Amino acid sequence: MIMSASPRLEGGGSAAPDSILDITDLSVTMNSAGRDIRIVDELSLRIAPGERVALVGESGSGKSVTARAIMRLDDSATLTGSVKLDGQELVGLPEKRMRALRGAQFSMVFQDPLRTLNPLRTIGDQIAEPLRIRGVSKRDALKAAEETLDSLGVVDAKARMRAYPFEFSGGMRQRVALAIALIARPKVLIADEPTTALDTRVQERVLRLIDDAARERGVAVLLITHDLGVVAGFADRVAVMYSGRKVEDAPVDVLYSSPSHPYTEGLLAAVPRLDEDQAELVAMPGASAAPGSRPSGCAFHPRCPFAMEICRATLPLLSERPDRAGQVACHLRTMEETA
Amino acid sequence: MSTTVLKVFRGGSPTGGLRGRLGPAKQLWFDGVVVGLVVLLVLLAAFGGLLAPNDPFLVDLGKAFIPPGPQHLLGTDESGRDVLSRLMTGAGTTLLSALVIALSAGVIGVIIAALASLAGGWLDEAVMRLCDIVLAIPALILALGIAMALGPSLQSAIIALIVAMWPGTTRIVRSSMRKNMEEPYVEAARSQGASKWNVVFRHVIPNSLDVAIVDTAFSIGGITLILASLSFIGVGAQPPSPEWGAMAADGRSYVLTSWWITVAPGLAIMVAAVAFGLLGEVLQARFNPSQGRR
Amino acid sequence: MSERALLEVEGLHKTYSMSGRPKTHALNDVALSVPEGSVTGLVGESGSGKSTLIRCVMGFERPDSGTIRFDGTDMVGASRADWATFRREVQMVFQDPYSSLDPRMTVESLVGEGLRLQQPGLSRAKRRALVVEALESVGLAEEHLPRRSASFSGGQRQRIAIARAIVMRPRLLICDEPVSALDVSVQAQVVNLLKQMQRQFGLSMLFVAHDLAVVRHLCDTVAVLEHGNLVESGPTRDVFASPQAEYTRELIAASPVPDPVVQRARMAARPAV
Repeated sequence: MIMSASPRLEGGGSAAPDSILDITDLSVTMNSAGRDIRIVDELSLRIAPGERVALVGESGSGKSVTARAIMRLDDSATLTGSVKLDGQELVGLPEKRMRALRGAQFSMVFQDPLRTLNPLRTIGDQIAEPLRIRGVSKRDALKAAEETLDSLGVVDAKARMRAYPFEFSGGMRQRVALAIALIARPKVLIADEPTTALDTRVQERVLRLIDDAARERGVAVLLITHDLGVVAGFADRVAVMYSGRKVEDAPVDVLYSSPSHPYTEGLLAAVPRLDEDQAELVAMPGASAAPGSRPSGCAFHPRCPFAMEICRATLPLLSERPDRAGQVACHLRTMEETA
Repeated sequence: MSTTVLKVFRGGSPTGGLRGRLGPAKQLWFDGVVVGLVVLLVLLAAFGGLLAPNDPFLVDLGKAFIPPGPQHLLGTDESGRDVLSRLMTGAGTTLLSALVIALSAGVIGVIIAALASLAGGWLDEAVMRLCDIVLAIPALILALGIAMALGPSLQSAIIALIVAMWPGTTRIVRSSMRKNMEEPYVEAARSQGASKWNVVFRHVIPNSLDVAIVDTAFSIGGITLILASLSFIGVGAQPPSPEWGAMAADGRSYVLTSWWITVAPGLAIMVAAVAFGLLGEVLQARFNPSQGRR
Repeated sequence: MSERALLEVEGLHKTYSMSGRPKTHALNDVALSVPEGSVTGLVGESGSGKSTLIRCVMGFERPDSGTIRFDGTDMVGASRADWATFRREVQMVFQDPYSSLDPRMTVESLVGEGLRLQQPGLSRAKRRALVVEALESVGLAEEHLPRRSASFSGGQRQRIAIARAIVMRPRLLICDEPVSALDVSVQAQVVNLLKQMQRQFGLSMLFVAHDLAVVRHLCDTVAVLEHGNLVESGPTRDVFASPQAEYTRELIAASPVPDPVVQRARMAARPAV
């Protein structure tokens, strides 16, 4: 049994906090062609220990940038607001301290495992790395790597340890990526579109894998995706992003059965189902605005069937849904609430 | 400085991608300065001879070796000729020749690349191998050999350099064409009945032109240097031509005492080479915003 | 709906051999038919052979054996005249809206290219008129003509690609994963558009996709490919309601449904994967 090699967090410790990841008013600004563009705008999100939260959005929503910002992967991004991991503030934390946390306190898996694995090193070495850089002996680290691979359902893990990434299929590589992400026992796993490029059956397997692995270890998962089918089977709670802002946040059953935000409604109406006959897919007109050319007021107003004058003028803030089941940022709903 | 000079030969940006590290506002300045400099050089090449203050060919031994001063801004050479006037007149020779070479090599390179693409198969391979062979020989040596065989003169140097430079363009353009031919939009055109000719001329060449233009621009700097080198060796422009390389060669013997005779044309060569190299960088950035450097 | 097959593939074989490796059977005795006026779906995962099948049908590759009949004529080894007809009557929409449009061409040139190739006698003005008509039917406008494709979004580009196909008044439209690269809401727009085009022009369609839900929504019949073999085909409703092949059952079971309650039940019923 390998002792956790991760450094202690300040402000964390023994008492189980309400949220393992607490994001408050996070804004991410990046510079493109000379202009400062706010890609993510005042995002707040809370994830409880062991909870599965899906961050859903289309292109331009800012969901991937959010994930990368939490991990502080982009040096060129400017962050304001607060991101607390088990009580430890990440915004403004020196890079050296961030490095110590990455891979150990929280970790990430990406869309394309082939590109995130080093083709020149054996997978055993790569899985063992998060422990090795924290001072664990090579022998112990490799043993832990083998155990992790085994727990992820890899047959004959011992032999596979000496193989190289190119020898594996897409699904296997995701297993390896997952092993690397989980070996140092993180508290939060961020999965950025982990199934997007995969075949249907492989997708199912990878999701199961993440599901089982996270459940066994009590890891919270933040799943970034655009696939509403994947979300339905995986998430406990769903946060919907549109044009850099969170527009709805609700438990999964509630979101799908009674979406509150018109965008969420539109999104759900546009997805075809393979178990039902649908006369017509309801398509929202237009397309998401690019981050640099956001409409005034509510970014969704040009496409919204319920748009009112106030929607053009004022940004709607998150408030409780009328049924109190979650949050929604919509003037119409706010009005219904107070009516 | 030697590494900078070497980089200016096909393939390198003289400032090592400096432009890429500037902010967008500064980049605009950079582009403006570079283009301005190039325009100045081109104007100098076109009108330098007319604007020269003194007769560049007038020999007056009584006025030999005058250091730079108010009457002769860059001094006089061993024959009493005004260096500045020679420089300005020679600009036309040097720069115009370099441009002619670059453009000819560029056009020939593109045409051959297109023909190779169309032919495909063994002919395509043969052309590529031919390019490889020519490119394996250092440009200066190759041009030297050809110019000597043709008899030393500016014309020989020009022909020699065109022969030496076209394979480089062909290689790069052919490579770009090969990549473009794999693109789905080519397949889409074929699916609508486009023949191979059609595809190459309407789709592949236009999409490979930006590579050709940037490559040509980058090559001008190197060409200027080689041309000057050939003259320096005595194989290119012959005296009393005020071609810059020839000028530098003439002043070689006096470099310790009358340094300006060699240094002035030497600096001019360097400025021209760097200016065109930077032009290449600017064009590259403008065509391919994603790549700030080569 | 006519019973006559506009496109009929039979006994198609294609193998690839790379040096040092055993032969790969990309297609193994594959049969497929697209009845006139209907939409046929072609489903399969990567390596299933669906791309190879399309490439053979379009004539970009030659099959080792088998027949590919378009309107009764076997296109394998067909004459130039037959291919000229084929290139006019069969149009394709590609998967990637970014690389399937020449970035240097204007919309007018792009959409009009087929016309220029097939009907060289057409005057520029007439061609322009047809292009505008095609653009308008896909929801774009005349003002878009002089713009380069680079300035359009993914969904708009696919519309341009569809206009490029439609302007030729094809009889058969082959769509190779045309919506896979698009956002959900845009995907719905394009799927609706394709459906509308199909009805409006009486098109026959071969729709290649990996997303079963889209296939269910759009296709009248469906064929399922696995590793180069046709494992099942038939009317969509029947195939989805009672899939005969193990592979089809697996595919359906593995495809998620955007409904948490239903999806949880489905996942619970699945054995450990």
